[in-house]
Amino acid sequence: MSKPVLVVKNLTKYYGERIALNNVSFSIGEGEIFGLIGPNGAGKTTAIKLITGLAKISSGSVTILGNDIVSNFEKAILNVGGIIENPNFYNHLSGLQNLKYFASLYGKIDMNRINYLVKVLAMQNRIKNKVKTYSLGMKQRLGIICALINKPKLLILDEPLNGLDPTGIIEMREFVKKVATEEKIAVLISSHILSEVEALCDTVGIIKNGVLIEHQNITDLQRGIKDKERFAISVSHPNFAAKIITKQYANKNVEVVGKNVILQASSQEVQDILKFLITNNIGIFGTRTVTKSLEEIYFDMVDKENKEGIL
Amino acid sequence: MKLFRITNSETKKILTRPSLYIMGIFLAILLVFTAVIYNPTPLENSTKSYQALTLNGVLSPDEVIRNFNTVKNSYTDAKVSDLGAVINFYSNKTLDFSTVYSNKDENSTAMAKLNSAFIAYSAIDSNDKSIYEGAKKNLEEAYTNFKNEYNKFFSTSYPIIRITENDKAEIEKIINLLDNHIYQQILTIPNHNTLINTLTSSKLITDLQKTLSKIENIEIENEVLAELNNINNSIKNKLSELELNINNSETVEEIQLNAARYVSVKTMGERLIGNKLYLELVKNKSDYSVNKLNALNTNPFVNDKQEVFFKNFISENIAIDSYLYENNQYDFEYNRNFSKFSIMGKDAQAFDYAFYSMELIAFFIIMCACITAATSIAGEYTSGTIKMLAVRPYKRSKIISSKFLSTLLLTFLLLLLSAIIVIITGIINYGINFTSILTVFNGGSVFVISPILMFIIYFLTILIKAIVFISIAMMFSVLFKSVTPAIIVSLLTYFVAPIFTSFVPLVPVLTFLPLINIDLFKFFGNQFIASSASQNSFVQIFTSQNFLSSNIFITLSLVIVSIALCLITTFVLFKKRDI
Ligand SMILES: Nc1ncnc2c1ncn2[C@@H]1O[C@H](COP(=O)(O)OP(=O)(O)OP(=O)(O)O)[C@@H](O)[C@H]1O
Ligand SMILES: [Mg+2]
Repeated sequence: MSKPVLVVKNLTKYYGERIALNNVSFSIGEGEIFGLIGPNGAGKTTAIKLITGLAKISSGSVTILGNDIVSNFEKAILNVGGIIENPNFYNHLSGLQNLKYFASLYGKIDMNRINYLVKVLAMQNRIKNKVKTYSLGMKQRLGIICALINKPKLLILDEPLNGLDPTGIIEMREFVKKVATEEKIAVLISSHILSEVEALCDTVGIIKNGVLIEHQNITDLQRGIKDKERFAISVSHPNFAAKIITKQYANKNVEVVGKNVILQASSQEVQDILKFLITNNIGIFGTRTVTKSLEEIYFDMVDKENKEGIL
Repeated sequence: MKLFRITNSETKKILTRPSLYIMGIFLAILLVFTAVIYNPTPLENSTKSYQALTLNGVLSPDEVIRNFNTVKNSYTDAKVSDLGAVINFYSNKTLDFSTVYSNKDENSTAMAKLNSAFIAYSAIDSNDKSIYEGAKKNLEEAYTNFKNEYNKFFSTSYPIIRITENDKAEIEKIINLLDNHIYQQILTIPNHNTLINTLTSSKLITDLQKTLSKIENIEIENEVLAELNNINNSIKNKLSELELNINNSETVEEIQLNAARYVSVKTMGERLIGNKLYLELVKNKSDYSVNKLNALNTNPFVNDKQEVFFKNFISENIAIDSYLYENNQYDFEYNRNFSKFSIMGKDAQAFDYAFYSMELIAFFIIMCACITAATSIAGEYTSGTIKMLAVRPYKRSKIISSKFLSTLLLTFLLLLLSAIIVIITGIINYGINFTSILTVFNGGSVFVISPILMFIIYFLTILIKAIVFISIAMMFSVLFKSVTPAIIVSLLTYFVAPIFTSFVPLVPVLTFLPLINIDLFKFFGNQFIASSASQNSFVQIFTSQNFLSSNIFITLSLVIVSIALCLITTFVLFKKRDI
């Protein structure tokens, strides 16, 4: 892995008695895009607020380029750009005035940088208009420009695709990818639009009820699932087959869909099951693997956690 | 350096707010408004009363001197004549404070004697001539004794007793009755039955006793008496010196000058003694009771017909009179060189107008500062931009500081701009006059300073007031995180403070309350605040009042503690809370 930009260790946040983030750890390297996905109320925004110092950490630590966010806030946050929750601006000012204001907080205003970003995000036509006349998508784009104005090493985007049209989404995705590689920026994106995350991220972390359930490289994640792939076995007597499989293999979860029994097993197990079925005079017409999209994995995990009763 | 940068950005940001321009327009209107409503009424110069000596202006020096000698005892300025009894007391009698009669015990004894004589008299048979004559004589003696004590009591003790006008009238009435019905009867009519009836029915003596017992008797320390005697003698010396000068003068101008001094010395001296004595009498009383006494019209010492009296005010007058008297500054109106509301014996000038106008302008500007400060943090929360701002490389404390400093900077600039405009307007309309001002610091020390310096002091006290209210508004801004409640509560605080100041002015404990007691300018001379001749009640509402015999150090501590508490709360809250 490349040099880590953001290191999150055992991050925990309590809101009063309730735990909003429970012992979350991950790290993001240079040029890496990390997707934090999870349902509403999972704790994505909370994690981002802790990372950016907006909310106080209950326990654990956040380090950005070696600087602790709590003890060395100014140095740590200097390398961060981001949108948290919604992109909010001073409505009575124009987009450009807003950008200039935020840029001025870093010292001399770099107009080249502003012009470059405005152009890349196709905001030239409206940049001189007041922000209150902007659509949500325009504000998102202005938010991204604003987040990148200080050439950050860590870009944090909380639901950046909200309000963008399909072309906008594609453009934004390309843009984020481009910036990440060109400027060697580590990107943290939170989202519940899973397909987007799938297409954009190098790594994803699935978060649910404040717990980071799975945190892996996307291909690893998919491969990991493949080790215990789901198989559909087309049989003559599916219900009977399901019954005896459950009896024989105590813990197997077997579904019956039409003439198919669907179950999760390793390749070795499938061979055993096939033999077992044949011995029991069940006709087998064929088997195939049932591949999963990330989305299905996501739901699987979330549901699994639900079933296991983890809050 | 970084703080400077963020403050700079913050200030520029505030300057882009549309509301700021609305405030600017209002300020401009207000500037014009104060220029229009300023309508100074020059008061008559009371030092000019000596001109009566040369009525018609054609008298010879001898005639003027003759005039002077005939009226010299009445030479107290018309305004000062309200000193009434005390002035007469001082001017007509040789006052020796060391023998002041202040004990009313003799009075009671005399009255008791009168009572028993009366009982003895009424008990005997009028036919028994020998006993009757003796009793009659006893009663007569007792009555004369009582009359003597009574007269002594009221003629020599008056300055050191307190008695309401009602009680005094009551006593006079009873004494009259005694005089007319009883004394006459004792002396002339041998039939004592009428006398007995009169006395029993009207309970005159018990009534008198009751009323007299209400009189409050105050002991004055010997040192104070000695000091007063010294001043008294010094005045007398000076007066006879001046009288000699007058009699030796050859030109009318010379006589006039000396006569004017004569009037001044007399007025100042009498006022000095009166005030010192009064302050001594009330030194252990709160301002509240001083005012109650004053409402009963029992303070014959202070000439200005003030509605409200304060010990501070009295000691300021003492300081001024002592200063003038000791420095042979006979123009006693010198201290009134200018004031916020009244112009004494002179034309209005730029500084008069500036003080007047700034009172209202400052009230408005501080109100705007409150709104700006209340919006500063709460506005960022309301618009959500706080999340954009807090992820910049500035600690929370720097963010708060920048808001505080930028609001303060803008307030300062607005005040400065207004002050300049107001002075220029004043110069254009009324001209400018740099005559020094006599002022009293902290109710004690007298200073003669340039009006420019005085105006700068005034400006600084306004600025301090602004800092207090900005701190309060900042605190509410962080506390509520929402613009509307932050502004409402801040403004409420801002408006309630002066209302409290004017409606509950006499409760001593208020001295120790912040918000109500934050005006420092009142310690630089009451004459700037004194509203005796105020011409515009509308402006008065916004005027700080010196209602407390406070002390600049108490007030300054309150101010510093208020600012510190508000800012600490603001910083801690903003630092500790999640955004
Ligand atoms: N200020 C707060 N006080 C108390 N609880 C809070 C606060 N902010 C968030 N929470 C709680 O913390 C949990 C996580 O919220 P968070 O905003 O991080 O979710 P999220 O993953 O961003 O959801 P969404 O997709 O809806 O944005 C939720 O249960 C929420 O109710
Ligand atoms: Mg969220």
